[in-house]
Amino acid sequence: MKAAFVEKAAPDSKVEMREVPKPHAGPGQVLIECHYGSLNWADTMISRGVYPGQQAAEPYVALENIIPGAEASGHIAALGEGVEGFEIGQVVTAISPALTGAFAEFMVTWPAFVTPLSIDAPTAEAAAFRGVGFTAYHLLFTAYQLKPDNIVLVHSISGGVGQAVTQLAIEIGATVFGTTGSAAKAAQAEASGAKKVFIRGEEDFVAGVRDVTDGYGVDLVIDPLGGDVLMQSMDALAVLGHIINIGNTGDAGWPGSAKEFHDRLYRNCGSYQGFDVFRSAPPGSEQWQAGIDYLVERFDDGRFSLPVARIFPLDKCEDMFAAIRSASSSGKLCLKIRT
Amino acid sequence: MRAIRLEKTGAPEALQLRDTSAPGCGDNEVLLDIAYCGCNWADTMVRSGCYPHPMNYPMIIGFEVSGTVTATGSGVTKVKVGDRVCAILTNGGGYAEQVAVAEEDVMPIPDDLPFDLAAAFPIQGLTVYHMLHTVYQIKPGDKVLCHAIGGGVGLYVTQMATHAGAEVIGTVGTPGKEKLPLEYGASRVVNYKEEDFVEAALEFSGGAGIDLAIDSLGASTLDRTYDAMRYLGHVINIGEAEGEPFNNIRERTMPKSISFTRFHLQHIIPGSPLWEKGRKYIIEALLDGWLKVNIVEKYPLAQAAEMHRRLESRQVAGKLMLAVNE
Repeated sequence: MKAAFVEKAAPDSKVEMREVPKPHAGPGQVLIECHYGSLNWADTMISRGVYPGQQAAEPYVALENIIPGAEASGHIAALGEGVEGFEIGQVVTAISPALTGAFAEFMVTWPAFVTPLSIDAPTAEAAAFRGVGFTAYHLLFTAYQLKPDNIVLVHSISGGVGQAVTQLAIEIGATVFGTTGSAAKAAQAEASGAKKVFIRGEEDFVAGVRDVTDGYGVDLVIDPLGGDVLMQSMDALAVLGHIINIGNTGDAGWPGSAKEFHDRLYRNCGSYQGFDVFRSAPPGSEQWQAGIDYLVERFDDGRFSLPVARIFPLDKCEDMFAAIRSASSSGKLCLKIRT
Repeated sequence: MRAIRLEKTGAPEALQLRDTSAPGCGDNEVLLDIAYCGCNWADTMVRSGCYPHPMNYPMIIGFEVSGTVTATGSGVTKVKVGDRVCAILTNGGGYAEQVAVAEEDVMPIPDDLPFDLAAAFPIQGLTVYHMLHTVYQIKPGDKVLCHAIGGGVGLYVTQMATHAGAEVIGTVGTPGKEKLPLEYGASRVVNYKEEDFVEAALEFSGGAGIDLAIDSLGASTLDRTYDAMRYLGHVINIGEAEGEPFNNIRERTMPKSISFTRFHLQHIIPGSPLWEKGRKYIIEALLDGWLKVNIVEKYPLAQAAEMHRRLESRQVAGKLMLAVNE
């Protein structure tokens, strides 16, 4: 079968095309014929070899001979021994718990990671909504207990998680503010319901947030950037506010000294939370299923969907990786795998 | 009036009894005749100069008192002369016969609440209430780990958490300090010098990990506490008796999606609905009798230095107090 391929994860790695053996569904596994893949920031970290833990002695995510891609829409092509509750040909959205393998004509995964949909044929949107939607759901409702009167500040609000957080938070009545990198992206996020979006580098979001909340600040910050943005965010918190950090996409690393971190957090008696979605809602758990049901219900009735910015053909996979790195896009980048 | 005026930071000997002028009473202040002043670990840090928040020396230390109102400023409306009250003094002033307090910082106390108890709960009792019920929402079945469980805060954590239906495991560093927490309802107390507290906490929680940890020690104790937590658990830090926290919060919180809070009571605004909820809860609990304060010893004003030495010996299982004017 045709597959995207990274021989060795490294900062300058390129995604090539390879002919590789088609995988088979072993006992307890499900084989998916992939129609569309959807790109996440984690995919770029994996291809560069910088995903958390990837350089460990026994990495959870492989460093060599990787088929990139963590999520795809498609249909069920085969069921391994003992798998029940699915039918061959069912339209599904699926993720790979190994976070690799999706950008290929077929991928193998496990039942907890396969979600049947009520649409007639797989779409790019079906590939795009689950990963970020799932992360957003568990950020707002598992790690935090978001309530309608809460005020949320979302960094990188134009990114996939940012857009998903915005939709889910607004739906229950919460107020969403954001930051982003350009005026065009800010306008887009405001059009999707964010009350005010600040342009980082041009506007002081800390002062801005205080201003628009009459000095109150925000109850919750969702921060995928780390670095200085994370440190400044502590000053934007309401008293007893909460920050959830989900990464360092800004590549700024971990900011400051422990003392500065603690002192700044302390100013508003804030809470800081690291976040790992799979460990917040373990696959197959009640909490995990609650997230899937919540999202699928909304995807099926049209309340929840992420805009797809561009669709690349499978053999232009490297162009898709280059596009996300340039951070020029707002909306999901997808791959058309089955032509 | 007589007061322990701290000219400059130093050893307990720096706490000398002196005659100083009595405080004036501002328009929005009330003047108290102090009955008791509660002693906290923070007192020793302010005295030695290692308190993390800036203080202006010379000063009179002492941050929680009970007493009787003897004068009120012209703008004071809710408190009158003769009222029995207690108060938290953000800027100190408690190791003295009299103190002036902003009206909004004064808490009325019922006639049947003795003055010693009234000066023993404001800082530690309210801090623990807000950690368990405001920062965290404690619920029946929660497994709570409390470091320094034999100290003032630890004993409040033990009682208030078990009252809410949670189960408490704690650590102590001195043999004998386990006695009172166990009597007050803790399920298990570990001497961390003899037994690995992480292992004990995991075993205590059936392998799942701890829901809520209260840490007043920082440094390696805080660092190892993360290993004892469950996924999505919450760690609240209120002090650094062992040392500053390590610079590894991201690595330690991310893998289990743990929340970390640094809590200080000063963020709960006196008089606000949250503040009133805590105050009522604790006064009712003290009057009901289910919440106990183990007052270990009361020292006369002149023996403040002795009181600090005693607290710094880390042998105290409960509360030390200055009896200013019984």
